[in-house]
Amino acid sequence: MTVERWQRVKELLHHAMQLAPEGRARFLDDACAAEPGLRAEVESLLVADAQVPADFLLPPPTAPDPDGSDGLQAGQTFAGNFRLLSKLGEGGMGQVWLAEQTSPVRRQVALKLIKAGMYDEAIVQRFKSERQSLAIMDHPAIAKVFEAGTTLQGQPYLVMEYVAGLPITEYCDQKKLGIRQRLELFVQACEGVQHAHQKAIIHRDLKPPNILVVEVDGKPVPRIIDFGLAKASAPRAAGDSVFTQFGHFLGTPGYMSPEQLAPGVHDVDTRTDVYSLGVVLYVLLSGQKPFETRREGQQPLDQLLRKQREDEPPSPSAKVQSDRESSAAIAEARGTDRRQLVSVLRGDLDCIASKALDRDRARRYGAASELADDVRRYLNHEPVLARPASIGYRVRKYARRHRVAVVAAGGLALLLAAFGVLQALQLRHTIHERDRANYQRDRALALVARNRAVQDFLDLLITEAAQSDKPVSVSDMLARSELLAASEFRDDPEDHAAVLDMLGIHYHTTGNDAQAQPLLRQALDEVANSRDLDLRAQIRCDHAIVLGALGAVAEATATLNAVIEVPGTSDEQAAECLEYLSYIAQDANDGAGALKYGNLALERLRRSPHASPVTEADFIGSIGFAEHLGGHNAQAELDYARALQMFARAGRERSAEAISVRNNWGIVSDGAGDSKRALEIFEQTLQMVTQDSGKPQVPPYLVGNLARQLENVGRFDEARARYAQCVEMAAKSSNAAQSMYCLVGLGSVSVSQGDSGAAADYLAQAFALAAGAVPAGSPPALGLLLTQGRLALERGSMAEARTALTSVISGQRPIATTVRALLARSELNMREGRVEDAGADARQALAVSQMLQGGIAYSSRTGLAWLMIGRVRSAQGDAPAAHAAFQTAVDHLSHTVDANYPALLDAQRRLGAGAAG
Amino acid sequence: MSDRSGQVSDVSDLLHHWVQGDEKALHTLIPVVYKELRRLAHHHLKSERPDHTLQSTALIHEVYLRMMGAQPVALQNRAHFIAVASRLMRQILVDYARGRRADKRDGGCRISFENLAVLAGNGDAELVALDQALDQLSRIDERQGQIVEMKFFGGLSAAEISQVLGLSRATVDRDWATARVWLHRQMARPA
Repeated sequence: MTVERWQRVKELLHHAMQLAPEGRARFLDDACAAEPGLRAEVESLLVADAQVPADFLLPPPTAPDPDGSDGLQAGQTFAGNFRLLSKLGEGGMGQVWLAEQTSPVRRQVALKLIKAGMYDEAIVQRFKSERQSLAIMDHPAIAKVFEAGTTLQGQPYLVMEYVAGLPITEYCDQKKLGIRQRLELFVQACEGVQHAHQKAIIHRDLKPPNILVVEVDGKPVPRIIDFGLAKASAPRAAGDSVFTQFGHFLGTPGYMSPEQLAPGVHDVDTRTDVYSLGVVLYVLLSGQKPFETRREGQQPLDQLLRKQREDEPPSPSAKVQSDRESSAAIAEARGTDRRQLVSVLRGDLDCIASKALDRDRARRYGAASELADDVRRYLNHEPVLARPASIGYRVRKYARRHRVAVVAAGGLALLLAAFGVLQALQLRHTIHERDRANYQRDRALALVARNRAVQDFLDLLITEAAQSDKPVSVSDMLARSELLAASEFRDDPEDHAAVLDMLGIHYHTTGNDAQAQPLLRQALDEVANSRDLDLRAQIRCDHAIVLGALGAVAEATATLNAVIEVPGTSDEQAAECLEYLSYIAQDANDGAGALKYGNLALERLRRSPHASPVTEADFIGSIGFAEHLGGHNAQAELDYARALQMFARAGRERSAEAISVRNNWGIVSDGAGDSKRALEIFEQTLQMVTQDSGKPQVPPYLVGNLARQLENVGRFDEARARYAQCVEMAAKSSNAAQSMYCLVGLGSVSVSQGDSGAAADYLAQAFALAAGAVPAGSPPALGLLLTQGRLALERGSMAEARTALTSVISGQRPIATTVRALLARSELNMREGRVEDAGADARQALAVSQMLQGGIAYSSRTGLAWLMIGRVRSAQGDAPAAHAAFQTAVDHLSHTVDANYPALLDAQRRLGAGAAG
Repeated sequence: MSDRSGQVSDVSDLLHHWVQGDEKALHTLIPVVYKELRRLAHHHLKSERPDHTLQSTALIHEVYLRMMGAQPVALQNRAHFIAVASRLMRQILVDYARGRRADKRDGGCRISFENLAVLAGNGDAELVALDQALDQLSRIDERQGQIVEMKFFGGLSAAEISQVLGLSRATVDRDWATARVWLHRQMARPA
């Protein structure tokens, strides 16, 4: 190629390279119209361009900075009175030398040479102004800054206390310090950071290499170096720390706070250091950074930063658990084994780390001292702020939220309930002696004051529960709680009211609202004059929800709305009452109302400084259910996924609350008609429950719901076995409603398998239980009616069948049971030759099913409705319409049920027959 | 030590004169710099530590500092120095790469060139190939070849190169971008 020609090629090539690929051809058309050879050359280079690796001929990102410090050597004198001894390191800031200061005092110092290629005057200025503030820090956990200056050449430098220590994480690993010792060191480091914050100095680059540990009198002491340097120096540099292209310091990937990563955010404050401390804590606990991935090796920086900005890190315990390869070594370095480490981290420590690492700094600990306080609380066996303040509150949630099956709490739930109430009692006792204004702050601390009686009581219950396989009976519980309340809190109507409230809510969650109501009424009277506004609000709301369950929905709604407006009610309590309003709407199938109140509840909860992520997750799960009721199943899926992620993040993914949310998630999938997915969810959830404890407390409702999905996908034998297991479990815990539900299931499977005799037996048993256990017209009652109708149909008792099915349908509840009843009645009409009626029922079934399906691609019930429509069309002689309907039915069913599900086989056969004919 | 301080003032003066437009100063400067670069490179390349990493740009800086000491030197001069040194460095590195390729069967020590490691695979062969391709480029566009040399071997930024060569920043950027493509294609072709 000639010199001239290359100039032209170069010109065109450069131009074309800047165009989008689609625009290049047109550009070259115009530019090389007369010279096809030129065009060919440019095109060949454009092809080559696509193959050039991004880093071809480019230096790796760690090119040395063109400053003057690279040539320094040991022995050299620096700035007149320092003799360089050895290079300690080199990083983003520049070089650090161990040096001997010769005057005014002879001592070893760390000499930090700030990288500043241009020796920018502005940097030097900033550096000097920072010097003043650095000098005023005086704390044992902070390395001292002796002086700062610049050489004649303009090289800025800092003279700091020489800290001959190891990074905190390395020190702890080397000494195999246990979690407690690590936390003690960490608390001291937090205190140093707090000291600096009080002097308005932010570190901005806290990480283990900047938190060194030295031994003073044989005791490890953390010492933080490089305070304020990130702000003082803003040169362009390489190494670990990241600088923007304008040379502004950002932080160190992995330790940077999300706000440091956010483009255009400059108001970094002390909470940035809280975040970085959170990462240090995380590493101390779990051995890894929150977003570190071992298996894939180094992840690209942008990917890491994106994760840090957008994702929620796993909890430390989950992190240890997920990494089987290295977790044994990590646990060993903490003087324990993997299993123990996970169990130590799970709970409080997970919560503390999560709170420190919250992406939203408003939800983080407000100060390093708050983080330190919470860790100290953990060390003192006190409840931590990062966790919910009231266990009783959580128990109520737990008991309240299972969908479908009417649930009576088993022994475990009861234990928890008692535990919660006793704590609440203790709490309230303490509060009396304190200033009300400090109530919120003292709440967590007050919970701690479990006296011996409480401990003894719990020990007794636990040993008793452990000795017999039977759960502690309700009457035992009542007797003991009353006894305790009488002896310990005899003269306190508020404490007594709290006990009554606990018992009332227990009855409510076991479906015995009629028994609950008088207890709550009495509790309400006892606190009528109480100044404890939260207790009053709580009891009023609990009473209201019971009234609602007993049918007085308007009164319940009015009361709940009124309580929310009472001044002085805490945000948490108000949020709970709003959540009750959401339940009432849910129970009335009012999706919009449930969603409205659910969102208001969440909003209010988030206003509380003590809102726990677990409660929030619970509320979000409830919003998911509201979305489902509104027909927004895709949104519901997202809500459930988010709720479960929050549980995981808080280390509570196997908690009762999380299991309950998972259960409801399965119900939502079932309601939408995605039976396979629902089955998957229940199987997973059941596995989680059985795996977790040595002696699994499997809730019968979970087994019952699993059985139902097995039935829905056509695995009848398995369904039968699970229903039977459920009946057995429910009987053991005297849970009539659950027994009845599973007996109906057994009847239903028997009908499907053509075993009318067995079905009749099961349904008779169910019917006997139903009267006292479930309200007429409730979904379980409708389920019994539906199955009775189907059985009558199979036995040819057409009139009886019609009565039963019509009675289900006339309830007009937008639930799966209604769809099944419409389809059964359609079948009945077909058999009686009433094709038009059969068509009307089938189309109505389709409409309800499609509404429930909302946003989900396939539904088993929609498939069943299409199958019926096809049969009607076929009977009417409309072969093309029938064919299309069968095709759609097969489509839906093949995605949602097992391959040998009878209705799917039927649809396929009819589709084939139609095509052949 | 004494001859070094003498050398420093020499080099500094020579640089200064060259920057002022005295071409003769450059001719005197080059052998001095070359000698020092070679000595240093030799030292590094003979290093027996297998983990040793040598960066050509780092090497140049080291030579620069050795020759200039801590004297305040105009930045402009520094860039010019590096521009010269990068040509020399290229020569030294390619010589070494050729030599090592020749006696590879003897199992000589392996040195990873951090800057050169970006040339995938066989660093030495790639370096020799780059050298040849760069020669070809320089034949049709000498200035472009110089830019690649300064940037790749000297680690100079586009801004510094534009300063040394008296070109607009846009021209340097364009030459660099197109040179990468051209060189890559040239090197990909079977020899």
